[in-house]
Amino acid sequence: MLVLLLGMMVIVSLSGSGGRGGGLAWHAGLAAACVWLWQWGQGSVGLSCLLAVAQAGLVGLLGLQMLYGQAGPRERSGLRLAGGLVCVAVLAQVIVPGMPGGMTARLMGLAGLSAILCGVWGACIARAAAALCAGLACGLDGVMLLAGLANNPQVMTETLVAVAALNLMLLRAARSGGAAP
Amino acid sequence: MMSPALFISLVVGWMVLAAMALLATDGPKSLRGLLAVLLLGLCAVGCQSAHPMAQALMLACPALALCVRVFMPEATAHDEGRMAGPEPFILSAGATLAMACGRCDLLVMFIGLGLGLHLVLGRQGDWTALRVGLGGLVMAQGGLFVLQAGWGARQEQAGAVLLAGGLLLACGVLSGKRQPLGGQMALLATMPVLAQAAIMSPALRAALTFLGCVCLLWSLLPRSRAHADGMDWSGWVVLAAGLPPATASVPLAACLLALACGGGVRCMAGPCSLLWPPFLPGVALALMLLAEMGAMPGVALLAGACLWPVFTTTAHGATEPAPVARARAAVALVLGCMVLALALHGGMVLA
Repeated sequence: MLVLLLGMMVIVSLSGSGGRGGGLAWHAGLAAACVWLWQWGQGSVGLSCLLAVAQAGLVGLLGLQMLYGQAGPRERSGLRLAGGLVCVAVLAQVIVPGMPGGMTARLMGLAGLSAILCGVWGACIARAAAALCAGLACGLDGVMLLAGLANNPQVMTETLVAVAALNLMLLRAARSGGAAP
Repeated sequence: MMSPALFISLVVGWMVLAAMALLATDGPKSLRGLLAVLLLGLCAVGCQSAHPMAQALMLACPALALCVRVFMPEATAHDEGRMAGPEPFILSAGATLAMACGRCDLLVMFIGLGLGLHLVLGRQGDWTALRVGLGGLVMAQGGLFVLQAGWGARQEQAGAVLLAGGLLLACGVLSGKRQPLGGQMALLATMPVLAQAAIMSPALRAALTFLGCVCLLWSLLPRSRAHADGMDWSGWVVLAAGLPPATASVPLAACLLALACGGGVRCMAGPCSLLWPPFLPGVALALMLLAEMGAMPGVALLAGACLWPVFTTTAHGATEPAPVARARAAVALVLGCMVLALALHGGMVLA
């Protein structure tokens, strides 16, 4: 039940996460908690939880960079719009029955998928480098959720490396004066 | 697909080769050519376990593309972009490894590695490549999870669409500009693996056919046709990967070979013509159209109609006036359609 509520909060927080950079860290923390609770419910707390917490830390770092960085409100609002759209679509999907695997796994999978779609969509309509990185990090968070659901440490490590690379790129862009894509 | 000893030898050979390519950056062309031929030989050894010739050809395509790339004349290479650096070597070796393992998640990992190398070694701060590449990879990985979770038929269709669309996005198909070689190598690696995965899930086949049609129609746009000389083979390759598994391998191998050899008209005219088998485009097109005619006649007719602008522009490049060229292209198209209809009617389509 707790995982259910957390998954719901991930979905809902997507729609509100565009306002400031801190929303990204909030979203990452929720995703990590979701993975941790899922593993705890399965009875095996191990490597995946560690990876999820590390991912949350890195995405939070990205959010901090964005908070002190160069993105204007126009660039931040794209993520919010896409979040609202996908949220409606996902809720419509949840209502439609007929998927085995339990309500929790289903909601977690849908939360991951919606994070992926929302992040990629936000990255596609982004104009500035910071918004692009934020959208991609949101999508990587969704991949991390799905990998935690499937218990796949290899993909979790890949997303970790990708988020670290995004951090480095954003840092370099901020130092060189914010090159627009 | 291959035995562990062969696989380990391929991995070790790849690492040695990558290290040598790293050392030979800005080295003489002969050394780099030798390295490329070595990689091709390594692939030939690794492909011995693949019995049908078409599969072996498919597996060796990235190494072949590397050879074409390295032996390309200097002027053409300068037009295409950067020439030096170990990046093409590592991309090609990663593609070979992903195809040898035949797993989609490894494919995603290797394409991501190539993207990272492009961002580090190539142009700094290439935000468009980051947006298209990483976004596509994230979508593909999500689709793969949905496919593997086994949630049901509708969810499987959604996963197939996400997987195929994300991988094509990451390969730079439909991006509107002429692809660099990295994108072509990624496409060369992706399509055989996707064709193998389509045997497992038929939903992927429908998604691939649809996306191939979209690619063909996209190549008809005047904006993308203006600065692409010759045929755009990516749509044909995607269409071939969506064929039924019994007929897919031969047309897919032919189209991949045409894609690896460059596919441009300019390439045929220059000193590169020694590398260009003159019959290859026609043979690949005929194989592709015949196989598609057996599977889905409507799609085959659409694909044949997409050949029309290629015919007219190719003839227009010569010294002929435009109406004569159009009439000749129309006659050729009608003749081709008649032959195809006869083949379909007589049951001579590939089984």
